[in-house]
Order: sequence, then C-alpha cells, then structure tokens
Amino acid sequence: MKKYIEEKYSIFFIVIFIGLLILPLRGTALNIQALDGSFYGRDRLIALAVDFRILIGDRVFPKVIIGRDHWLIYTPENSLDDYQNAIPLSEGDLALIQKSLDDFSVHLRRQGMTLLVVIPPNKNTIYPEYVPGEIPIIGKESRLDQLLHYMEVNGQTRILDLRPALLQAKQNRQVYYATDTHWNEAGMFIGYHEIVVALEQDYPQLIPLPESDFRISPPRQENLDLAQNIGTDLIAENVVKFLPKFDSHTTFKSLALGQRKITLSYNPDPSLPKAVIYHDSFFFPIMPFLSEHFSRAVYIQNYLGGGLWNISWVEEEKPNVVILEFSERYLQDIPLLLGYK
Amino acid sequence: MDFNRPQFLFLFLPFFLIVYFAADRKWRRLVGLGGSLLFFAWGQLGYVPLMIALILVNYWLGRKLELQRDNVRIVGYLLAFGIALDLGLLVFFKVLLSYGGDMITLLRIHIPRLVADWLKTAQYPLGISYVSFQAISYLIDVRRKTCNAENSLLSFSFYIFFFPKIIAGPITRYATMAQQLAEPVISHKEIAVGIRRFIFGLAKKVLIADVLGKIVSAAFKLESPNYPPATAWFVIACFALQIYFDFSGYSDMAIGLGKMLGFSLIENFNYPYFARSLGDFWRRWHISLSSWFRDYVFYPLERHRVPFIGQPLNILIVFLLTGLWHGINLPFVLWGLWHGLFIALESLFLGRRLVQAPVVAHVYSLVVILLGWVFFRSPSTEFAIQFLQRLFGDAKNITLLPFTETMPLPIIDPSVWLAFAFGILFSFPVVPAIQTVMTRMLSRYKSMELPFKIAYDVIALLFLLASVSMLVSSAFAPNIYKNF
Repeated sequence: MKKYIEEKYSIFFIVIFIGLLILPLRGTALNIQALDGSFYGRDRLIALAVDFRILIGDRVFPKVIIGRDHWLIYTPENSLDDYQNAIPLSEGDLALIQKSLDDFSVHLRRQGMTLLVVIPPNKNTIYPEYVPGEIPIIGKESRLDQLLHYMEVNGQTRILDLRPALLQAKQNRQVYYATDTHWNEAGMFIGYHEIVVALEQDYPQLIPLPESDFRISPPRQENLDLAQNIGTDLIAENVVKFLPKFDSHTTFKSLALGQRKITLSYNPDPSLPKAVIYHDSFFFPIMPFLSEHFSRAVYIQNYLGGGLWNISWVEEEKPNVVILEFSERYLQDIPLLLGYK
Repeated sequence: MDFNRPQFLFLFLPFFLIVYFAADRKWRRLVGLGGSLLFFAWGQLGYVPLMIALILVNYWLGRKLELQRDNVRIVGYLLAFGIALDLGLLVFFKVLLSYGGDMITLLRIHIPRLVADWLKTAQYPLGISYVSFQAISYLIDVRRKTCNAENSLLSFSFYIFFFPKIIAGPITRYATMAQQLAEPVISHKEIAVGIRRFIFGLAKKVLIADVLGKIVSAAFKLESPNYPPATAWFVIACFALQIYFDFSGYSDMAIGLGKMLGFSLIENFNYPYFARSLGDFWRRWHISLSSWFRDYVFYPLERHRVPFIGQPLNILIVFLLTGLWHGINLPFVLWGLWHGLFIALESLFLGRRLVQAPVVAHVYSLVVILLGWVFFRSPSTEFAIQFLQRLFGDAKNITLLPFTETMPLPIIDPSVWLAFAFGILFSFPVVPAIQTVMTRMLSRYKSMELPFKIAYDVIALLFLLASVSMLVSSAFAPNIYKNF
C-alpha cells in the first residue's frame, strides 16, 4: 500500500513539475528565438524577484540604483558619471561643441533666425542629496559648468542654464519625479517659464503664462520610467498635471516618420513667431505650454542619435526661432547632432 | 543552449521529457540521442559535423583496439592516434580561440576574411573539454580491457552526446554507463528524485552563485584591484562560493537530469571546503576530473617514478596539466602548480603534521584554496599579484572611480550578504545532517512520511519559482525610452 501511494505521489509530482514548466508557453506565439524575452507570466516573475529584493533593501539594479528616501537614480548614459564629475570634457571636446553650436548659430542668424540652446539638468544635479553616500564626487567641475565657462569666454551662442531657477524652486516644491529621470510638472513649468523669458528679449510679444492660469489636476498614482525599468509596480508616485483654465486655440498634429515622431502645433494668432524645436524626452510635457506662443511650431525628436534630424526642417520652415534642447547627460552628443562627427 | 535559459526550461526540457517518457524502451536511446543532438545544435549547429566525426572516429578506434588487442604495436599506434586526435582537438580550440587572433596579427599571416571574422566571434564547441576526456578514457579503458568496446554506434553516440553532462560534466567513464546505455530504465520514483536534484542545482546556481557573481565580475573586470584589503578578501570569498555553487549546481542539474532519463551519473563534489588538506580537497572537488587525472596520468607516471623527487614531480606534472585543462594561460598554470606544490609538500611531510591538528588543517586548506582562486579568476598574472598584495594588506594607490565602472561595488546589497551567508552554510554538510535527523524522526513517526514528502516538494517547487523569477529578473533592464 505504501509503495502504491509513493508511486502515485511520484507521478503526481512529475506531472506538476512538467505542467509548471509548460505553463509559461500559454498564449505565447511559439517564436523560439524570442521565448527568453517573452513568455506568459514573465512580468509577474520579474516583479516577484524585484519586489523581494526591494523589500530586503537591495539598491543596485542593472540601470537604476535606489537612493535615499527611495529616490531612483538612473545610472547609464553618463547620468551618474555627471554626478561624480567623472568624465570631464577635454579641451578638444569643448572646442568642437563650441564650434558646432556657433556655426549653427551664425548660419541661423544670417537668415534672421534666433537660436536658443536649452539644457535641462540631470535629476542628480538638482537633487544630489538623494544619491547614495557610497558614491563619491570625483572631479571638481561638472561637464555643464565646463561648457558654460568655455562658451562664456570663447563662444557666441546663447545657452539657457536652467539650474539656478530649478534649484531655487526646489526650496518650495519638488521639481523632479523621485521615480523618473525627468522633471515633474512643476519643474517643467519652470523650464517653460525660463525659455519664454529668454526669448522675450528678441520677441517682446512673448510673455510667459502665469501659473495662476492653470489648475492642478487631482493626483494620480503612476509607475514612472525608472520604476518600470526596475520591473516593479511596488514603487508608484503621485503625478499631477497643469491644466489650463483658459480656452486654448492651439491644435496639434503628430506625424510618425520611421522610428521618430514629429509634432506640429498651430495657433490661430498670425502675429506670433514660428519655431522649429529639436528636443529630447524632457520636452514632451512642455509642448502644450510652449505652443501657445508660436503660430506654428515643429517639434523634432533628436534623442535617438545620428545627425541632427533634419537640418532641412529649418530651411523649409524658415522659422523665427530655433530651439535646440538636449538634457545634460547628452552634452557630448551636440556635435554629433549638428553633423560634426 | 544552457540549463538556465527559458528556452531550455519551458520548451526543450518539458517536451523532451514527455517524448522520452512516452517512447517505448527500445526507442529511448534514439529519442535521447535526438534530444541531445538538438540540445547541442541549438546554438552550435556548425559544430555538429565535427562532433559526429569525433564520435565516428572514436567508435571505430574503440572497435579496432578491441579487435587488435593482441597486437601490441598496432594497439599502441591506434591509441596514440586516438589520444592525439581527441587531445589535439581540445588544444586546437583552446589555443586557436584564445590566441589565434593575436598569433595571426603577430606573424602577419593573411587569412581569408571569413576565417578572421569567425575567429573573432567563435565559441568553444559545447563541452569539448569533457567530450575529449571522455573519449580518451574510453579508448584507454578498451585498451586496458577495463571495458569492452561499444558495439552499438547509437549507444556510443548517446554516451558522448548525452546532453545532461555535456555542459559541465561530470566526466563520465564509459564503463559506468555501459550497462545503463544498453537499456535505460526509468522509474517514477527516480524521476521524482531527479527533478528535486535538478531544482536544487538550479537554485544553487541562480540564487547563490549568480548573485555573488555580480560582485566578483565587478571586482575582476577593473584594470587593477582598486579596492581595500577587506573588500579583496570578501571578493575572493565570494568567488570561492560562486565557483563552487555554480559548478556543483550544474553537476546537480546534470545528475538530476540523468536520473530523470534513467542514468546514474557519478557525484562530482563532496563538500570540498570541508577538506583538511589540499589532497583531501581534490578528493572532494571536481571528482570526475581529479580521478581522471589520477587514473590516466598520475598512476602511469608513478609506474615510471624518478627516484627521490619522483612523486612530488609527478604531482606537479598532473597539476600543471589540470591547470592547462582549464585554460592555456599563465594564471591557470600558476593555479595548477600552486595546488600541486602544496599536495607535493603534503606527500612529503606536511600531510602527517596536518592530521595531528584538524582545526589548523582546515584553516590551512581554506587559506591555500582561497589564495589559489586568485590566480584562477584573475584576467592576468599581473592582476593576480596585485590582488594578492591587497589580500596581504596593501591599501596604497586606491583611486576613486566612476560608479558605472565599479558597479555594484562599493555597494553590497543585502541579497549578496544573504547569498554569502547561505553559501557558507551550505558549503558544510548541513543538508545531510538535516536528512539524517529527519530520517531518524520519520522512522519513529511513519505516518508523517507522506506529509513530510509533500512539504519537501512544495519547498522544492518554491525554489524553482524563486530561481526562475531571479533568472529572468537579472536580465531585465529595458530601454527607458521604449515608451516614447
């Protein structure tokens, strides 16, 4: 009898084992090569391990570390190197960036266009206090400081440094998301405000909208980019949006061209200038605000690398204003984007 | 393919097992061989003809050796040819893939672009180190009449290709498998035992070895050991646990898979860090390799021992070869000689002293083994020497480096400490001790046997879940811009 039960139990265990192994194939189109990266329950399995690791206090994940107060710190793409001032720009790098910017600026100026270069700082630049204490600062000067000092002496292109305004604002409220690489709505609004104020010198009709023109949406819990990157839904963050109290007449159109997306905005007021804006992910939330100030604006994503995509937009559009925006961690890509590498 | 890939776990393994179990007894070898070929070909289709050729030649040589047993001269030639072929193939790939590119540049040899590109990306044929040693042992055993030559090409091919042992051994002698090859016998009880062994092997690899491996990789990928002595000791201890749990985990998976298919493979590890001498360590570590060298190199050398320095010299030769088997470079040679040196000393006088002081013997063994691992893991001899200097207290010239170069160091996550603690715990015979207690308890309370077994299997399945979960999560790092 004992032997019989043992035999039956062994069969039961074997069936359970094989069944468990086959379960992940449920609903999977049998693409063998892609199986390692996509099978039923994969996200749940990842979350299980990650949630356990977070629960016991692990901090280092492949592209993210968990900083103080559970702020998530993005590690690749020079983001943490910038915090440590670990990869200074050489004299040659600085000269190349200066030349590429100045050449572009002169080219635009000859056609009566204004160039504004905008650099949203890394999260760690505004919130260094959340980076784990074990990670030391190595160099004395950041790459952004190096560039601004170099341009001050040698260059002629206007670069809008958003750090002072954001550092000032953070005294009163949070300006970057704790679980995302980007600025939050408040930080974005400060960026928007500074950009319009900077353009006001050449276009006096441009006056930034006051914050009182907007109401704040009820907070919504969201799993933002760095939390998603770790693979957990344990870390969610409150997200609010600035919603206009006025009736906006600006309309938008999106064009998908290959891997990239171009957004066009139209404002019925013909007295407003036209703009071409090259941008990375920091500018997605800023578009509705900035578009209020241009009769037509073309937003072109540049963060996918390669040459500036595409300089002919400037020639075709003949805008009044060209904004070149890239975040601090992509400083070294400026010559590449302007076709100098 | 690897045992810890979802492709293997969710696709190959369950479907292969279903077909294998469903197959009639007489077809099982064929199904097993087919599955093993598929396993090998999955990532290395290009090497299949080479492996088939290797099998055919060794099969033919085995048969010839048996037929010509009385003709000493012919047997000598045949055996020398077989050993030269199997060993030559191993050396060829080890040298070619390690130094081929450099040699071609150095000697300014013009080779077709296709070959040059292949050299840059080529991998070792899966399990070549194990396959070649198995083939050699087979030929020698036939020559020594320890076993008969295999008549069935199917059985011989299955013996060489048997997928559970092709990745990381154990190096299995033909004689131990011959009976089982004739007709693999499977039983539900043994399959269940094999499943449990496989799961715990996977858990050892994923939950302990791989977790510690992150620290080890970070420490050894730097240009120099740029960390203080305490970190260096922690790193080398992590490596000692990583290599043990990785290798013994693979062996457990192989033995478990073997059991599922009706084969008993030899045990490859027996708590090596519990050893009380280096000689004892090698009776517990990679047993199938050390016994191979003992039977096919050391004993023949001992038969022609040079007076006085003979045995120590033979020991050094064996360990020089053991080092070279792991890789043809100076750090592996130094690692082999390091072990050989201490075993030679033990054979001369040290062994007798160690017997008198077990605690000292244990500490001595651990320290020598740990220092030896420095050579084994270091990318160069220069790095190994610098690392040893760190271990002996040199804290000079440590510079601040970008975190992206040292990551995850200097941060040591709690999961690493946890893996480290469990690694130390399970390096000692804790499991057999628990099993003994449980067996004693169950003999008293027989009615508890089934509930205990169910509880044990639930734990095993939870380990499977945790291992797979850790496995997929460690490779998870999507591009943060995928959503834009």
